[in-house]
Amino acid sequence: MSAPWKGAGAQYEESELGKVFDGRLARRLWAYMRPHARWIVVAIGLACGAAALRIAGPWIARYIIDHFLPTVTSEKRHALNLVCLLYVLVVLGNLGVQVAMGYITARVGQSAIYELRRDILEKLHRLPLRFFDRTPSGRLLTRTTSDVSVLYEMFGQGVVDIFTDVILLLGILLAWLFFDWRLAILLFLTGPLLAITSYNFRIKARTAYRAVRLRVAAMNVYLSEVINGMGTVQSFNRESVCQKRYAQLNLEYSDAQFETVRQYARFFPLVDSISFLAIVCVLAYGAWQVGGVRFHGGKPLTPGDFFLYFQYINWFFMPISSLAERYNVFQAAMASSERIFHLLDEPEEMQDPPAPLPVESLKTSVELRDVWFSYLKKEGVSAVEKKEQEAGSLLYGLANGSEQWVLKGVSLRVKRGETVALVGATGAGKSTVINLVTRLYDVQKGAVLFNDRDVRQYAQDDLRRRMAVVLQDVFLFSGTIEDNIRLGNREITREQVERAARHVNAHTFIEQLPKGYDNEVLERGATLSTGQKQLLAFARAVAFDPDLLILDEATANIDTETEALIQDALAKIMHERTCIIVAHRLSTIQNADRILVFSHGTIHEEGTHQDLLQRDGLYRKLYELQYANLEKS
Amino acid sequence: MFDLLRFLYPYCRRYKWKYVWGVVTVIVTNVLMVRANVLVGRTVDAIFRPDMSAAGVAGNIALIAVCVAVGSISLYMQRILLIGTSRVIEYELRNDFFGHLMRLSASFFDRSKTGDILARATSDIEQIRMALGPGILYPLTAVAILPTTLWAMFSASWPVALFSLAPMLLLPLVVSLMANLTYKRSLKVQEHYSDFSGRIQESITGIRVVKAYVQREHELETLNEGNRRNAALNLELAKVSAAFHPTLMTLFVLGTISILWNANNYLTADAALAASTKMLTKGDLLSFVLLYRYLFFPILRFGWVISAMQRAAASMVRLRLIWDQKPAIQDTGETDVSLDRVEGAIEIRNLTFTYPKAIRPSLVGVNLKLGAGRTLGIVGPVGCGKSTLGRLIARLYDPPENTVFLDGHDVRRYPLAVLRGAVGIVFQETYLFSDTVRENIRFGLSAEVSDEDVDRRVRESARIAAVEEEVERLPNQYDTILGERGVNLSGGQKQRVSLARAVASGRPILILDDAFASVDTHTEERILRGLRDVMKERTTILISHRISTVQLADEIIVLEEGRIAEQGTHAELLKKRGLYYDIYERQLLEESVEEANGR
Repeated sequence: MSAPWKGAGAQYEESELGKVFDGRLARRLWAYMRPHARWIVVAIGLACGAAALRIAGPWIARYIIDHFLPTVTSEKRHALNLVCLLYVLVVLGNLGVQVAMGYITARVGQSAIYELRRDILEKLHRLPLRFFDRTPSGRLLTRTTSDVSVLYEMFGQGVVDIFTDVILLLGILLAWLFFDWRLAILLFLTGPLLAITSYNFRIKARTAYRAVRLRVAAMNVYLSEVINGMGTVQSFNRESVCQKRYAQLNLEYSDAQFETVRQYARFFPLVDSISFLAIVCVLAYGAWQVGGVRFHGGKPLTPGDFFLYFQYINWFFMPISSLAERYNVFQAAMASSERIFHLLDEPEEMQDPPAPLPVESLKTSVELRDVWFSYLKKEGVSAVEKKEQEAGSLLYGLANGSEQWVLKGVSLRVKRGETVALVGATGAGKSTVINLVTRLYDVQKGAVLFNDRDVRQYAQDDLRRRMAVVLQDVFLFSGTIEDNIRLGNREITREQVERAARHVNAHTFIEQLPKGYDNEVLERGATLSTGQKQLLAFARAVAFDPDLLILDEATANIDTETEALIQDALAKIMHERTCIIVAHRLSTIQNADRILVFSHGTIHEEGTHQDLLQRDGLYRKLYELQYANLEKS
Repeated sequence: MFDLLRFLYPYCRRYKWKYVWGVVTVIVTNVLMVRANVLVGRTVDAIFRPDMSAAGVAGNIALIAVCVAVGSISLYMQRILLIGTSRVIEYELRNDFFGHLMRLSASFFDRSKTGDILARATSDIEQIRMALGPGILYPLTAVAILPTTLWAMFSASWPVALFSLAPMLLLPLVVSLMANLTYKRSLKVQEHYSDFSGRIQESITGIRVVKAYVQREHELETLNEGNRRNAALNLELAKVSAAFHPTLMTLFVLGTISILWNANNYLTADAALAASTKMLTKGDLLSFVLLYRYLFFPILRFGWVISAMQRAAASMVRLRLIWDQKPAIQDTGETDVSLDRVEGAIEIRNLTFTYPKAIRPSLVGVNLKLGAGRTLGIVGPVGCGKSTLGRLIARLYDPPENTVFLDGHDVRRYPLAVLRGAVGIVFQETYLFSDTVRENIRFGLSAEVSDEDVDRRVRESARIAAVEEEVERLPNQYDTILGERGVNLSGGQKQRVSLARAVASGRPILILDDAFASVDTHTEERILRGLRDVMKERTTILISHRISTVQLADEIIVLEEGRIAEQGTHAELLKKRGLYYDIYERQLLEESVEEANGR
């Protein structure tokens, strides 16, 4: 196997597994179980009951074999019926107890899982946006779904099975000791033999499975690479080389799988052999004992005893050999809970002040005062991320540890009732201004002020309730059109929803949908056009009736009809409200009270459309580039 | 199901003897294990015989040991033979699948998701493997053990055997009932779960909106509703699954009770009498109970085998969707094997081309002639068809007959290997492999080129592509591994490495499709200067939306909506003051804005 596939990722994955039990994690997990402690005690009680009933069964069988068989006299017939009935009752009782226990543990497990998942979800919604910038959404989804499911497997099944198994093992050991301590010791000796075999198997199987996982990953990485680069592969005639390489990886994977086959093939016969060894022990001991009795007297073994021992041996062996399986469940659960708690421990950064100021409606202005901002943050970044950043800055020729400022000392002031348009090339820092005003991020230097107070003095929620944001990519949730306009805010009535929709020219197309406002939005609005989505987002913003409207105009192509509707809606919205707009449309820009031209994180020019055109600076060039052709045609 | 078997038959046939020996070992194992259990009962009888002989008991025990020892070896062999072979077939199947993928054309990969293909290659093939391995072993074991055991039981005493089987009659009923319930409820769990995780995903991707509109409370409420329902549905499922295993165990024990309850009429204490009258001894009774579990568990596995077979059949159908794809472009009867080399003259005659499933044609009535070693520039706005032209020359898509000619022959008549060996193409979307820089650049060189030659050409190409300095700054220079698990290059660096790859391949025709899009104009100039010698020797097509890329070409065409709008040299086209001139002016303006932005 060549080096590339044993890269950093694979090693990290490997180090992640390994721990089977971690006291710190177990204590935190226990916190979720503690509220159900009473039920757990009940479940343990039931497990003891089940074990007792199971041990009692063969005892009854022994009694039948020794007392009623081979021939039952007619007067004994009635007694046999009764004993058999008792046996049936014991068996059914055991069934009942086991089902009850299974149900209780599933219930406890589900409750604990429910609460854990609730905590994760709440945590997600408290984390700052910065966290989402650097964490792929797929990873977060895994935390809340499959990682939690793995824990359920442990809570719901693993723990209980181990309890039941251990209690049953102890019960059988006690029963053996009670019957015949010499035979008990003999049988105990097979226990370690089996334990060693299972342990050995477990270690080897784990190593083999780890190899399987790594190799299947290597194989898939290569396969997906070839699929994505198929055009390149084919145009360079590299098919046979790729085929050879894939076959090699496939062979390595197959070999690893074969190793697991070999381990299992070895394990099952060994377990069978050991259980026969135990049976043979009983036979030999029995022969010695029954034979010896004729010379020494004492209590001999009976055929019923043999039956009893054979049954117990079976039950004694089953749990020991299945412990290996439990081990894997525990290992996976520990890895998952470690990842989950890591997420739960993530710092929340932007906290509200202990005594936030009440946010009054926008009276004076919104202001950025000498703001410096970078999306890369130096403190609170993990070692891995730091490394990535350093590698990045190395490659892009940036000075080591460079902050990569997106805004470099920007000051701007939007007075109440004013509409300000932000223009400039992509990456100039326009959208960042929006992120800062809504306090989705905190500035590194300088301050953002709302009503002349630093936004950090307010509670985030109170501040955001004064604003509404329309982002470039409109995000729609699954649910109805109405749901998407009022976003779960129950204070907004259906009439208000409709009024908002009418105001922004969205009413007409909504009415044309089969179910109007109750029409379901499919897969993030797949059935709606970009323009329609934009109108919905306007309606959403208007319905919330904000003091400050913040808008990132869509650049995507929109059909001319909707475009006219959007322009009309925009003009209406801008007319009556305080607005900050990242503008792409000429009509929007012309309607703005003031235009700020951004360039590389600073404000390059400022003024009205006419002022700026006359100045013949960057704005004029941008204007000519983007709009001159449109005007011509 | 039948489809599955027919598909797998050729693979299995190769390992005929492994299967034959596998069946032999299954039979041997089962006969010996049944025998060992019967012997245990006999031994118990021997122990309680008044005239017990120590030697007799020891002999019996030795016999049991032999049976178990040989049986265990045979058990080991059967897994190696049957399950092991399934792994070998899986290996071959996957290789063949990969080989098939390599033959499929670009159009197939355009419309398929990588994730889907990966799933076919891993989980679906694994499902089929399951049907081949345990799916064969388990029923085989059942088929081997049921008759042996039943025969052992019935021949000992058929009435007792019948009594013992009575609860077993309930088994299929109970199993199917519970399996059905489990299936229905787990389906509900899964359906809800996928909705629920979709909802979570939405909440994560829409986090900006949730935050901006202060909808955390509402959002958490809905999510928690899903969370609660997930727990409730899982609990419903747990009710069934908690009862499943204990119920089976109960049935098993009930069978034992049934034996004990009814056995008295068929038992005798006299072993000699037992043999002659089909009566049982107590020892036989013990064997009976021991054997009973051999009946029980194979029956349980049947359910598993059936569902494994169904899953495999479903996987087969999915796999077939890919496996039955015919390569859109391949050598056919029209292929002329005598065409084994390409000089590089290109001619296009009245070419109109529409992508499969597209409504409008991408190219309309294009005519063009380019001598070997000449350089052609193609410019035009996005979607004008300029990339399509390059792809058709490389035959990544099939042009109509008699439209695209190389050295006077229709490209469709060239053997694919020859054609692709002649055309080097660099796309805007570069694709580099997670391998060393050297391996990536030498990608198109045949394995026969000597190591020093490779090294020389790799360096030379890197220099021409103006990426040499940057490569030498990398941690391990040319041995640096690129990609996800190595170093991530910038877009421009990737483009230059893939340009180096095309240059190194030494193909007589070089197509650069917007290959400098992520490179700034200054670097572009350096590259073009470096390429000058290369372009002299090879037929080069420069496709770009930038005038600066194509201006030095011998001939430039301007495409607009699939048609050639203008044609000529840079100077000629500027004089025309048409489309080319407009694009040129606009780009000058753009450059000045960039300068004003402080670049």
